[in-house]
Amino acid sequence: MPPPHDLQVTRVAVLATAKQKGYAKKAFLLDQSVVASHSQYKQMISQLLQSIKIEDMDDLIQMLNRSFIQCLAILFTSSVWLISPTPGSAHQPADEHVKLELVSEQDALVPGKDLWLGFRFDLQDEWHTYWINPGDSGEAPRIEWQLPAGFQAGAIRWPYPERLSTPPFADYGYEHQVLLMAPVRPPAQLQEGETQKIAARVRYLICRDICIPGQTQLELSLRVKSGAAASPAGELFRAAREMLPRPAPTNWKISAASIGDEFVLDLRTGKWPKAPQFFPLHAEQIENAARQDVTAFPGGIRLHLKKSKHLLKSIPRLEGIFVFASGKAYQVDVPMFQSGRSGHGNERTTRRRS
Amino acid sequence: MKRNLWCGLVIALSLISSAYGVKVGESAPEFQATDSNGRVHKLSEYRGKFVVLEWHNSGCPYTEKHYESRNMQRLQKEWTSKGVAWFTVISSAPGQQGYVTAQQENEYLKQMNASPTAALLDPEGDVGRLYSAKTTPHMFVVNPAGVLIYDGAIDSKATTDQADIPSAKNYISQALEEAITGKPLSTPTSRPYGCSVKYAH
Repeated sequence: MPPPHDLQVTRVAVLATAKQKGYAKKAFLLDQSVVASHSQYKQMISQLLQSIKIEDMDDLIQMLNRSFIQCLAILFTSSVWLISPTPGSAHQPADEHVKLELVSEQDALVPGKDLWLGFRFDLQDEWHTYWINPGDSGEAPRIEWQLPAGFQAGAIRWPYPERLSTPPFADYGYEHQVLLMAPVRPPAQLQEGETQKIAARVRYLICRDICIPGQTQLELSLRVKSGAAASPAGELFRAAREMLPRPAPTNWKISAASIGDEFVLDLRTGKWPKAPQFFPLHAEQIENAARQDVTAFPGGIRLHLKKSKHLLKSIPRLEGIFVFASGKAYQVDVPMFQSGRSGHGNERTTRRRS
Repeated sequence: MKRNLWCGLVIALSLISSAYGVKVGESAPEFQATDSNGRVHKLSEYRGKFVVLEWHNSGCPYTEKHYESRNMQRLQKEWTSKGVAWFTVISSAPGQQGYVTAQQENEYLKQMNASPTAALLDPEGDVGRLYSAKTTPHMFVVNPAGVLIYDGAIDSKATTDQADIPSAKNYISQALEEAITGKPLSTPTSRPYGCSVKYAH
């Protein structure tokens, strides 16, 4: 790796070699990124070098050894190619790191009956995308349906996320695979035997140590039939449903109170569920990376959530999900009891560890 | 005994965490940082002026949104011409995305036609951690009395899409306009959106 002050020289040489050897597309993306970031450029050079065949390395090294003037000449002769602007394509494409697919739970459309469709993200190791509340950074995927006339789509069901910790902050998202599903209702009067095309545009952000935005147009064609069977993707939906937060059992009692710089969330279930974690549905209500201390009392547990310093007004309700070590998640939507006390942590309740 | 130790630890941790970060309505913490021309700046030198802090990472797509569209440069020009001190702060650690040497930053500013009052180099992340800067961009506004009056996003549309800028509410211009005319701020905090700040691990 050459020292940083040679970056310009290296840039030109690598680009020229890459172009010669048929890596024009990568080289183009590379050059777009150098304009934006020097350090990212270094990373991309190393990626490009890995992708260049051994037999091309000699050429590359030769070019690196050429004088700066020659390199400048190459830069000028190829300047049109180098500086043609393509806003929004300054990065390696996101789809090199994530596969996105629109899948259906069933193999056919049944007139007037809900059909579950899902957006399946298959992320490369180390990459993640985001929950509906992405936490301290990032952005949740956004979906724009393009449905045939008379079709209606319901809300996306978000499987519970994992806490992606980058101290001193934390994000909420998904690694590896996730299925974001939604019900789609076709109209009752559809011709059996005809094919309907359902499409959607998905905009998303994936991050590792760096972030890349992406957008994809997805389509799915389904035949209209009087009855439907499970599609090959059916199993994905069964697995994803296990990760959807369910309504809390009616015999549980959940309550929330605002006390000083904390929200306390009491969960009376009759036992002490293991390793509870709370994920807030709305941003900037709690400090996402703060430890959620648990205290136990007979018949239940109390979770201590540190209020976000961005929260300047009281909130009327606390909405979010509880996730337990069992892998089950439950919805929380409770009024916030205002204790009337205020202060900064010098009036906390005595804590007992569960 | 064990329980007492544990309680002590919990209390100690919570004291540390409450001392951590800044809060709108409170004094903006003093910092000292060196800019890309080697000049040292202290926040307290700017008493009597509004100060904008802009966390920056040139490789982050959210930062690119506001620089490629020239939105950030326009804001810098507009507000510095009205006497506001505008600091671009780079807290990326060496080896992380967005880390730059002083020379690289000066090249970037020139290439982008950016005109902050200064670009502060914070590779250790001291200023970033002091302010709990989460994202790029993450914006702060300090009033002439040294009180933090805004902490959050640059605008109301948390996307990487440049096309969203014209229809977004710009919270920095809004905060400065309101504060200058003596009005209470309609949006003193918001969720800062963007890439995480690339601090040293």
